[in-house]
Amino acid sequence: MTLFKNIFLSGRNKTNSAFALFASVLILAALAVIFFCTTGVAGTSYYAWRKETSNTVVLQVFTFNPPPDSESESAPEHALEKLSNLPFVKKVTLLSKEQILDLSSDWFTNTGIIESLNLPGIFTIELSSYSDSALLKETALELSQDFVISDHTAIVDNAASIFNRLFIASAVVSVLMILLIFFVVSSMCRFIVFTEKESIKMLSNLGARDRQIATLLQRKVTLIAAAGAFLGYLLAVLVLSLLFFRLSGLFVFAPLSKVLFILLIGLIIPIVTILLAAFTSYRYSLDSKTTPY
Amino acid sequence: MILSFQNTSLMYPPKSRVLENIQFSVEEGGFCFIFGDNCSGKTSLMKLIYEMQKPTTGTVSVFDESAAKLNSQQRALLRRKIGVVSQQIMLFPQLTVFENIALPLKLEKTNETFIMNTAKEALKTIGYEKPPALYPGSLSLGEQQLISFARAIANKPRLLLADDPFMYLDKKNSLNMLKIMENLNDSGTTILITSVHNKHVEDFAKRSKTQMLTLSKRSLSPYDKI
Repeated sequence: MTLFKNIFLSGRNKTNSAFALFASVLILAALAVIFFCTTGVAGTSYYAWRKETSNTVVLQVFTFNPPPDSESESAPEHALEKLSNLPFVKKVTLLSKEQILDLSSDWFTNTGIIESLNLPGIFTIELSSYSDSALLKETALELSQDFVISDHTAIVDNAASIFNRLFIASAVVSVLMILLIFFVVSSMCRFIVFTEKESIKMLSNLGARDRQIATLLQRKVTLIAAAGAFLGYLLAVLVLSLLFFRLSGLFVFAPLSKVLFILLIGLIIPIVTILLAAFTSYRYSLDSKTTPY
Repeated sequence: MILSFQNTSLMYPPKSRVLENIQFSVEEGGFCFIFGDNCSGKTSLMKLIYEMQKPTTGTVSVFDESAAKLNSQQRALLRRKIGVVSQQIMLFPQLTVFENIALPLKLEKTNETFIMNTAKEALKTIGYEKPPALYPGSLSLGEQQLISFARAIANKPRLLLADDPFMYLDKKNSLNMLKIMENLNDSGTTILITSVHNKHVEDFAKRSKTQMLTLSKRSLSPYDKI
């Protein structure tokens, strides 16, 4: 027997309240999920990028010092070996002047111009930890008098400054949306207690306990709000898919498992908020001395 | 005493006195009629019992408990022993006739088969012949009042309160309802009915030798004295 299902918020007039609740939760949940998940995924991607970037140093050597044993090995090979033996270095790859010329031959017909340029040998150094920049500089000086070290510090710092502001703004908006969901569900619960006062009074006169009435109201409101939140979530996921597809470069560093985890959290937060709002507000409404029945 | 009023007065704010110094009681298994004109305070008196409102002065005891002093849980349990038919039809329009009758049984979490059988029996008792899947809105006011009565008696209450239940009923149905109440009373249910002065109801009350009172000018007096 499912008669309890139909006691509250059914009938033509009362479905308007139910629809208002459903629609407002749908919009707020969608916005909250979009902001929360974008921030979460972009943040994850940013941290992964920062880790990767901070652990990579590029050394450009324009003219090499002659190696101690110039007969057995070339200067770039000597440099490669020297750099690979540094304690904080994980891996070194060399893009030599010859390799650059070779690569550029596909793009330029007149390679003479490229050859006339002072092209460096480029060492990409992956670090296990970047703790000793002085040692790297010292080593570079042994290898050449004409070199440039790029450790991306400026780029990382700039990105950190921009991202932190965006993160705070987005987090504030997400929290605001969640608070709004709480407020809307909570207000709606109280409004429904008011609009349903006749039904509550009848149930009460039939011997229903306050807890039974509260449970019936909570169940109905929670179901409506949760349906709104779930649809809002699906809408948000659709928007996020388009956003991720369009701005894939921004999110490329985020691992899929973390993206899925953030999406799951994005679903759980609005649902928990709804449950909390429905539970606390009915308890308050039915316990309150100002109960309208 | 299953029901007792002791020096009970009721005043609605700011200064509308509705009941004054009401003093009466009904014994377990008793059958009591209170007659009174419109606006004499019959419904207010009934609400003091089934809504368990706090009177302005005095006390109202139901099953030897001062209703106004009970907490909500205790009130709910007490209300389950009371069947109520009020002049204002209190059916859920969104529930079918059958569901409306089953509702108080469902609140007590009794098993489904018992609920089905009890609700069917209650419908049979009042002589309802239309489909139980109809909604109250498709019934006449008289039929709705009978459904409301069926719901009140479905779980065999210890106390049945009927607040002007004959308002929408013709003579035949009113007497039929009274006959059912009489049978219930014979099986131990205490009954309190309020009604406007109505010849066939008054005749029935006199014939059945029940306790009869009159509510007039906010006070209660024996029926003979008017």
